[in-house]
Amino acid sequence: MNSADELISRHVDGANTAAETEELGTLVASDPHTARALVRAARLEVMLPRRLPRQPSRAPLRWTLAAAAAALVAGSVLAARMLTTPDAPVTGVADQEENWLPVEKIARLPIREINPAARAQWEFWHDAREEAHVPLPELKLSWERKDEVLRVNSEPVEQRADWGPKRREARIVEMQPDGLIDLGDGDKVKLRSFAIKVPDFAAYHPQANPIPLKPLIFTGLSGEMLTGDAASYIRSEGSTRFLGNSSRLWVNLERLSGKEITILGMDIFQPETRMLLSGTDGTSSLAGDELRAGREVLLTSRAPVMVALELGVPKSAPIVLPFKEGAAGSEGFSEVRLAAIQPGAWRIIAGGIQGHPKQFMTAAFRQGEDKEAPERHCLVGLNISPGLSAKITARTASGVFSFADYLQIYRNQQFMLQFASFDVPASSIQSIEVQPLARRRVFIRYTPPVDPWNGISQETDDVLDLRIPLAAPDVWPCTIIDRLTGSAEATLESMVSGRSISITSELRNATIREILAHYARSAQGGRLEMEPRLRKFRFVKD
Amino acid sequence: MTSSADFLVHFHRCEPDLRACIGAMVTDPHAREDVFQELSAELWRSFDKFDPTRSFGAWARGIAMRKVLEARRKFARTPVAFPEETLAVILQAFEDEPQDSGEEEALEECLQTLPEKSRSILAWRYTDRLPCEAIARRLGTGVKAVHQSLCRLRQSLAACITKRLAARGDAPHSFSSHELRR
Repeated sequence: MNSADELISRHVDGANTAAETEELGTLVASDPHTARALVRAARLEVMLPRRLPRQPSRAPLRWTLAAAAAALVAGSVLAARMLTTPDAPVTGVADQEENWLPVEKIARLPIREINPAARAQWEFWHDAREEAHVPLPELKLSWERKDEVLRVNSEPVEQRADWGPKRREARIVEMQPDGLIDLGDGDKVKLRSFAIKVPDFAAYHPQANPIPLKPLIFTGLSGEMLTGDAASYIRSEGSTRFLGNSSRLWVNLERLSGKEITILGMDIFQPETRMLLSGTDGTSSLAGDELRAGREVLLTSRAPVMVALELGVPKSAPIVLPFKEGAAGSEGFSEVRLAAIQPGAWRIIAGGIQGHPKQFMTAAFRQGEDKEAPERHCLVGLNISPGLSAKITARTASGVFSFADYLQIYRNQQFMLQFASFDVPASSIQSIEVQPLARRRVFIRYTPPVDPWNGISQETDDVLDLRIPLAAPDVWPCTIIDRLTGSAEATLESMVSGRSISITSELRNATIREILAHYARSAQGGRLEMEPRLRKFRFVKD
Repeated sequence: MTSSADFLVHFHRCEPDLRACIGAMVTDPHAREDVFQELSAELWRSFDKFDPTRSFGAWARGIAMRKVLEARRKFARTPVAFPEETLAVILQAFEDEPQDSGEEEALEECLQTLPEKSRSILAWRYTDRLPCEAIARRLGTGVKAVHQSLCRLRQSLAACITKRLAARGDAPHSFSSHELRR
């Protein structure tokens, strides 16, 4: 038996069970004193938030983030990066829904608002790690606000040696009441924005290709800052892994779309460094410009933004090279490098096999070998950051061939390779243009279909329409990951059966045929439709 | 004074009590907000029907109860705690227990007298809006213990408010907790 006060107290907390609520209701109805006590408690409940002083609470922040980090468990990754510039107001970077947590939101974010996507993402990458046998780096963050000082303590990060630095240096930044942060070396700078981020490792696959990703650093207060922090990251990882023979740095700034970013201290890059800031809807903010320290770039596109940095590519490099089958590689396959040459279009400029693991190449060649018509397949492999799809066009002397109805995407953990196949003699192709398409937030991986022309992937605004012939071979392992939320918990819903199922748990490695068989037993054909926002797939019978 | 200004004067004065009224009847905080929003809109729409010779608070609370019941009918999941008869009793209790204008000030003073740990618990609960589970984790204790702590704190604050109002001689009613009264 609870006392009336306990029942009332729990009632205002919304914690009473049904039986307790009933008990309280009986008491209220039968005893005016209890009814009045409830009234007073309800009033107190309204008054308290108004009258409690806003204390400089360090604990909530620390607890919140500690709990967030704990929830991510070992193996997860949080990375803190600062987007800073002198004399700028403290502003947010992006919505917390996108895993970026603006500083002014952190203090009052309940744990549940921080975590869902991060947790989901961790789960996914945990799986990926198991597949790849690659440990993920760890970064633990503890934050606390001490009086009016924001203290950020980024603890050391363990990383595998071949991923870059063995250990990332811990650093502490304090934001003082006037909004300045002390870099610890005597410099004080104004914090503009600050975010913690759960990186998307989708584009970060050191074994596959030196495409680095996140955490990305368009940060920098000064050259010193960049040298000490961001630059070291880029340099240390880049020199050994990312910027070596790849000379390419891809970063995904989709979460910053529509935001102003400041690029400072770009002296760490080669003078010939080129950069493209392009909305994946085809718009560009900056294309082909040489980066300069202090350059401010306003990402005008509200669409997801991809940023490509061509590092160390001489300006005098040919923009368009003749594309010849087998010209660049002994195995007859050319890596394609993308460069920003005009807004909204990336053109293949060079060939050369660099950094691709054998398994990808093997897959590529298998794809390219058409014994019946060896001249009719020109194979193009593109390294494209995850989330980006492209319309591929081949120019020949006799015309332009678009390649939109067949898109094959490899997503090997963090690395996506797209292959295009043109039904024209490869030797006739003069150039290939790649037009990035927006809106792709879903990875699909499957092995090369035997008959590529029967596999159709077509993108629309928000629906990935996977046209899958039931006659397709049984060898299409399919992994579908919804990047929109970073969750692998996409569900596949059958219009036939009406059932939902977790792809992660049940269909992660299922073949498409198995999926179709599972969800459309009697169907003779159809397609899977996906609504990314709903994270739903559905099978539509043709 | 225009009708709008009139309404705002009444509404702002009664808003906390209306929230309390809804809070007493509805358990879920989100549902409370929804009902309050509905109520606000309804009050604004119906303000021309309000008889200025009567109590705005009583009129608004009556509509509040109607809105609570409407919400329950409309959204089956709206966690209205009690049956209609009990809600009527609660409504009457609000009439019988008019709010003292000095209560909030007294509360502020009482909060100053609490130990730091108690203030922290209240701040987590009301300022940071942490659920009791999170508070329990912070305290390294169980959820039940948190509920008990909150209960004791509320009792303590209620007693303190009553005492301060009485000391000022302007307490038309006791703000003491139910148990204390008994």
